[in-house]
Amino acid sequence: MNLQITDLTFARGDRTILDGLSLTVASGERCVILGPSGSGKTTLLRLIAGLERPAGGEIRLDGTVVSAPPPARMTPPHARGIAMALQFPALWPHMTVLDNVTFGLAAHDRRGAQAIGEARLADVGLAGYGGRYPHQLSGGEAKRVALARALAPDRPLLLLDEPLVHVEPALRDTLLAVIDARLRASGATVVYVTHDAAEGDGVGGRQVWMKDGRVQ
Amino acid sequence: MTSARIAKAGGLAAFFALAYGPIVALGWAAARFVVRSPAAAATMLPTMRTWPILARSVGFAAAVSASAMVLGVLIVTGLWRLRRGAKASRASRALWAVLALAGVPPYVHALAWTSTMTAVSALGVAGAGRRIPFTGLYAAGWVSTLALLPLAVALALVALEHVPRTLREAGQLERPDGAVLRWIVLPLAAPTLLMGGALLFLITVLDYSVTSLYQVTLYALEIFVAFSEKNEAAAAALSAVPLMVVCAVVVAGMARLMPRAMQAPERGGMSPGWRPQWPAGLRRAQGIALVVLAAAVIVPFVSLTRLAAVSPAALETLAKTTDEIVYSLAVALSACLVALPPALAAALWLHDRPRSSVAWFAACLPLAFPSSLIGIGLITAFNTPVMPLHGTSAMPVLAGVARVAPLLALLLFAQRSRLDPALLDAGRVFQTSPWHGARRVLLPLMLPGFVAAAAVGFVLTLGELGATLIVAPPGRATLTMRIYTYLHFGASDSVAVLCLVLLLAALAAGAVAAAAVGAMWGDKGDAGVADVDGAGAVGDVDDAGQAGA
Repeated sequence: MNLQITDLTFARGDRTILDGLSLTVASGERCVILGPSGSGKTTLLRLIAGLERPAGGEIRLDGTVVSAPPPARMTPPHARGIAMALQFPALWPHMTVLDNVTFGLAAHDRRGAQAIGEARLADVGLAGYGGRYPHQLSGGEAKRVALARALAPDRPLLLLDEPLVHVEPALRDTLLAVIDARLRASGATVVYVTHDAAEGDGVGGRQVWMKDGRVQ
Repeated sequence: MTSARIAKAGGLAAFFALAYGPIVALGWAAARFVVRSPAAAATMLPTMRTWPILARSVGFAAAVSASAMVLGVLIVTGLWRLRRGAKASRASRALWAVLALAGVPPYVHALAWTSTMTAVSALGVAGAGRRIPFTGLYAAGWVSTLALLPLAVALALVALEHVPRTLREAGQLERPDGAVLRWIVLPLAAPTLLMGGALLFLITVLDYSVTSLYQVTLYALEIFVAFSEKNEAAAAALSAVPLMVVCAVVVAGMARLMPRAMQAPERGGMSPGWRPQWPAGLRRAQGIALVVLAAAVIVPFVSLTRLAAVSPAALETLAKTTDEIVYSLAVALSACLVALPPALAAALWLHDRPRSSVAWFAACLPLAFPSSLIGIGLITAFNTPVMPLHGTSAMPVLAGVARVAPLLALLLFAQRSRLDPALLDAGRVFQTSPWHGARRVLLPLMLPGFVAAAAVGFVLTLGELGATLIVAPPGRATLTMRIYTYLHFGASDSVAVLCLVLLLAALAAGAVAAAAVGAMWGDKGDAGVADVDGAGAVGDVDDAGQAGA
């Protein structure tokens, strides 16, 4: 999926968070966004996902405008063909780990969704954790479940917001390898946000530096 | 033991004495009565005559509370579609204003709807010379539901808007808004919604003011009748046991839900620009619910103003009831001032043991006491040479305190649980004594809760009828007693004038409560950070602009 962001502006109150940002990510490309805290990385991902509406500019997915200022119609997040690992796990506490991971697999029958969910959990080293509830997980395990949830639906655009923060260093390379394998299998486009340059190198692909709401 | 601890313990003892005192006194009298006449114990069980009344009461209250909560959920989710950008916070605050109507006593709604139906019948809607039938169970149910609707909307607002934003957004990435509402928002809001429904159930099942106007006999009225017939407090207490058992079971359910429902919510539950796309069927249901809310707001105003405007003696009625108005205001003000300190002590006590179902049950059980029984219990306790308060104006005040103290404790607990622990920890570090910390840090931070609780206590005592009717001193009457007496002579323009006075007083206090509660619970828009639990769901912290809180 091709992502094209043109002159994107976003403000919260008097504070401008994104200021005329433009960025293009080609289909199948991996784009790593680096930058200090407060540079607007997470807001950019939320805008791409459709969780926020821009004040100016537009976002196109495969040439179709999905986000633009009012009165343009916004494409809802679930209809954009994206998957996302939020900065914090955001696991639904009333669902089991497996239910969390398979929530986005509505197109599959129950058995098929469970098989995919269990496979993704095994990928992130949590085989057998499907029956647990989020409160029974450590912070690092919750992050891995969130990553499994993002990888499960095989969407054409994957947005990953600091997916390896709070994950034990020993596991990071393993998870990066899991992400790499899934991306190779699916050919998905990736926008990967991190403030850790070494982690960005591990993801591979093009690196973009953000500061003060702009791509440098 | 420090003086602060002694004050907390004293306040807690006062809370339990005020909330449980009347019922304990009555229970003691009933126990002695049973010892003297063992056969009387059988009156604790429902008879062939009272079984159907008990079943009808439970069914009626369940239907009314469920209807009100469903409407509340539909209204809140329907209004989410109206949110746009920076207006979102204002829209949320405007919705809190609906809470101001929660203070309007249900029998005022009854008068308004009855006169409206009479007026509509006069227009020939039902055919020339025919009246729209507006009596019996359905009329009582309609009026009771609409009277509870503002409170139901407020409870639904608290429940739904404090589902953590990140959890909802994670669902939006995967599925349409309708599925997110069904599988994520409603399950996460369920404890608070169920608790709200239970509260509405208790209010309905213990109130007979509306149903008696529509010739529907509920169990709560039976207790009043049992006391009126024989003037025997113990007999009335024994006859109330079946209803109290039902209510105690509901309270036990509430006590289990409370720890989850009352936990500090993540702030910023709503995204400023989110405008959900609901399925067509849900949108239609929301539209109907919004029309019902509009009717609940507009009909009392229009109907009572129309009745009062045509009254030739409106000013005369007002002049004649000045004493009742002033007396009601004085009783309500005194009751909420007396109830606040013990309620605060109970709130802090609950805060120290948030997961104790026993503590929650003990604090909430007084909500299950029928108002008429509280009145009878007060007479039993204070019609003695030791404490000869019977016949004095202290009795309606104590009745108001016993009725509202548990609710005020819940409100103050809610405010206490929302305080940032870091602010209180900093206070503990720098305070010179616990009193210093309480006075300079804790109490100022809890100010919105105090204002809300005071206004809620005022307005509930102002509309209180069941207990006040029994304990009012000779020669004194509150406004609600005067209205209720007039209502049984038939709806008249004089009653409308008094109802308007009560409506305006309730609205004024309700507006204060809504503003304060809105400040406590309202949508904080883009402030979006708080840890939730081990799952670690939180808002966005990468961008300073979003970190907000």
